[in-house]
Amino acid sequence: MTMNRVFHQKNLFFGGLIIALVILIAAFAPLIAPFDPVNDADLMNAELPPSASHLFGTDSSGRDVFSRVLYGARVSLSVGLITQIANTIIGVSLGLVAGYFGRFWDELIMGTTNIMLSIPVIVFALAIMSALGPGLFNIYLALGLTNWSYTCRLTRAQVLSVKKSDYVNAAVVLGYSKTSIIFGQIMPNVLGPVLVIATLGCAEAILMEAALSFLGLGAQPPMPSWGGMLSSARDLFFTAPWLAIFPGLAIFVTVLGLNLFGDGLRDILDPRSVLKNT
Amino acid sequence: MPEAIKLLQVSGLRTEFRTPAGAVQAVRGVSFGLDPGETVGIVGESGSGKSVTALTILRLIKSPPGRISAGSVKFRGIDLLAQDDAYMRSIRGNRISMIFQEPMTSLNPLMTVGDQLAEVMQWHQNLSRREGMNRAIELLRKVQIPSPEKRVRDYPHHMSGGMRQRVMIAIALACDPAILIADEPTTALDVTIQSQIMDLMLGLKDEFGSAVLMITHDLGVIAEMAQRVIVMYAGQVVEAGSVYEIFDEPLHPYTQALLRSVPKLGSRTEKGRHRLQEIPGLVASLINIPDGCAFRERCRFAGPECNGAIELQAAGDGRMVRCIKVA
Amino acid sequence: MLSFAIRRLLQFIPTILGITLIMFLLLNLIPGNAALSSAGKLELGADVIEKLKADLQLDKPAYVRYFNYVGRLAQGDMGQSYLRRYDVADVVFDRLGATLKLAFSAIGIAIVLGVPLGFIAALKQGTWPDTLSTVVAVVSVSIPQFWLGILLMYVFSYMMHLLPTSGYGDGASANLVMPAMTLGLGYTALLARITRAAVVEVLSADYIRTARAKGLSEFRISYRHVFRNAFVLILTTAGLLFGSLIGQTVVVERVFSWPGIGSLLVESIFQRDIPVAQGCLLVIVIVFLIVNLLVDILYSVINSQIDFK
Repeated sequence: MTMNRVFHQKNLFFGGLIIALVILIAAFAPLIAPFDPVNDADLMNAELPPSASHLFGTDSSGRDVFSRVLYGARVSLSVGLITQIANTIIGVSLGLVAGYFGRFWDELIMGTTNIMLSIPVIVFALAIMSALGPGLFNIYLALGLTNWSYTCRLTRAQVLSVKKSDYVNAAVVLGYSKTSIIFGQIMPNVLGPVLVIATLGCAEAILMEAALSFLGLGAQPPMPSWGGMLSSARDLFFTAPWLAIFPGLAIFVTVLGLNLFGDGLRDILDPRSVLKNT
Repeated sequence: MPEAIKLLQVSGLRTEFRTPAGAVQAVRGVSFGLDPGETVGIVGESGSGKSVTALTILRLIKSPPGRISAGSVKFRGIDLLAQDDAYMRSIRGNRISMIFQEPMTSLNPLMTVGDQLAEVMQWHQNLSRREGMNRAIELLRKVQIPSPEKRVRDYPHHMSGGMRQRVMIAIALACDPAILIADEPTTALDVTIQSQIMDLMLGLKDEFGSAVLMITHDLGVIAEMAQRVIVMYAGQVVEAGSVYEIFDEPLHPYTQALLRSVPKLGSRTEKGRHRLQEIPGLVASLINIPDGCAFRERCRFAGPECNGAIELQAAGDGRMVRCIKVA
Repeated sequence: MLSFAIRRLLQFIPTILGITLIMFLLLNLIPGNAALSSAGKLELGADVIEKLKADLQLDKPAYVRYFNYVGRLAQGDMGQSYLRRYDVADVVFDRLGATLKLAFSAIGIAIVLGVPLGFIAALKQGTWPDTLSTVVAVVSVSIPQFWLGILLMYVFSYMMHLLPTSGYGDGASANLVMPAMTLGLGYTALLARITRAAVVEVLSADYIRTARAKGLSEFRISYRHVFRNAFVLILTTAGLLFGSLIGQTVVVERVFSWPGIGSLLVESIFQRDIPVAQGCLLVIVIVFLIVNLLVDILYSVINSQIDFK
């Protein structure tokens, strides 16, 4: 058991390290990148294999793949961050409304949540993309508006359990406002699990964005996004495999970091799951 | 007597469990014997090592973290701890069988009780499924389950806790074992059901002639069923003797305290005449146990001499006690 | 038992209605009316736009249009493609076979590999196969599936010339191998983890101790007592897995040019052929719901003997 604790803290540590690294890369991409990711196109030097001057080689327009991968972190992180903020706000708000007001609102919101849960997120996102058309902004919408069901359920459950608890009743008897107590109590209780859901959701969103961009529905060229880079590499990778390898690796490492961090966080917040998984 | 081969002879048995906090020594050198047809009770609080002793006899200790570190369990002179797994399997459920404390969860929820009963006979006696089922009906009748022909097809959730424990007893007796180990068989049941199950076991014991090792914290059960009693505390035998001796004249301060903590025998209906006394303090920790009497922290007779190693000593005809104050 | 299946089928209806409502809202009420603006972008002839307007009955209130839409759906009418003169239902169901073939092959791979792996990991807790399966599980949920597909393609088609790169190949099984592997491998690891957790839970049950006390061999305990009980636990989670797998077919079909619903969906989204896109999405969701329904019924068949609420 002690061994396992250490192992899970390792998850948290390595996951955190990877995330920090990706954030730094995204923030300082202009400083690190040797070339401009969009404008330094040079058709004379197209599809060069990795070398000292082009660490990850060049793409079909002669742009530096290394620089584009560095800038690609910005797109992926923005997707992860924006969609999870949106999902969390929607999920927590609806959960609070459903739990606090109950009755009609509860029925309506939980009914919707159950329908949302019965459709795979990617299908939902594709439905929105099919109505709105391709584009990065539409990806924010498609992923930011669809994946809040778990947060909503969790918040609602928390409200219900706090509502029923003795100390709330006791506080009401003492003349305190029920509302302020409930909300004061819920936030700290919800924070941890919501953070776990958001971290894992962030990983999911980045994967989803990559998949949608790969399908050509996401960030449009020449914007450097990892999924988009893979999409344009699709027909070239037999002759220029580096075009597919490096962006894919970037997605994989980033998502792995988030998943490790999320798992580690969950195990620390919920020690029972540590025991359960041993 | 000691020269004759016993039906079961447990000697110097030690079992420990590895935990992050250190090795828990659940059983610390337990020895006792069992004769054919005899009923011996092992009593003690939770954590006294009585259940672990029972599981150790059948080598059902999960390893890791558990480990049988010393001693022998001789069944008809053959040390079970030295035999291979195949031999052990031929003993379990066949020559020595066991009933557990939790009737609600001890049966497989996805198999009919008939199949679970027949299984043990198909396995050990090479019966066909049909023969097994017929025997199962017979056995269910013996444990007084009404309309057994129908009940064999029931799943455990169709049955109450008492019924399930009857099924467990039927499974245990299916192969006509020489020894039946019953680990708190009535603890989880309602009081009225408890006495029915006890009566049933008494009756069946006579019919099947098995020796019974009755593990319980309930002295009432011991008084009803056992001829001899072993009192365990902190993984050790602290006192052993006939049921009359133990109840009439307990020697060890722990046994005395144990008897004071239950309604006096035979006066069950006159509860309240004696004030029941609880035993002060907590059961001793089984990690890094110091030398000396494990009970001394809670014992009102304890003195400095109790800190030395204390052996189990003979105290008259067949009686044993582990206390320097009385021996 | 039958009443349960019927009750469960009835629960199906509000879900379907909710989904069609969402589809309808997406199709009709998005600002600027997506259907018409997309038709405008395609520079269709005025007659087609008139026909579209008539089809969409834009002069009628939204709820009337919704009921008409559901009414047509109930008759199997998913409308007409904007671009080609065909019924959406025909072409979508035409493509369904390839998608189902891919999805079921993938789940088959996941079951055949994942369940035994999980079993081994559970029986050998804490040893290297167990650790390995933990690592593989984390890696496999983090790896982009289409990337894995591309890598497989590079190795098996380009370097080793073992398998065709893409396409349906008139149903040749060689063409199925890589798409099914790509889709199945991630779920293999997930299923292995689920199986492991289920088996670990069952192994600690009291009735397994009873089985040991009966003197049964570990093999017999495994197949008579552990497996069936673990299976019930595995089944519930496996149904959920299948849902996300159906979603992922869209991406994998694109990688391998597999002519299923997913490819059609992506094409139609590009061409802004919204009736086709909606038809694809609806069929994917319905397949997913049907699979979940079947899993539920199967679960209750097994459970009907144990706990029939």
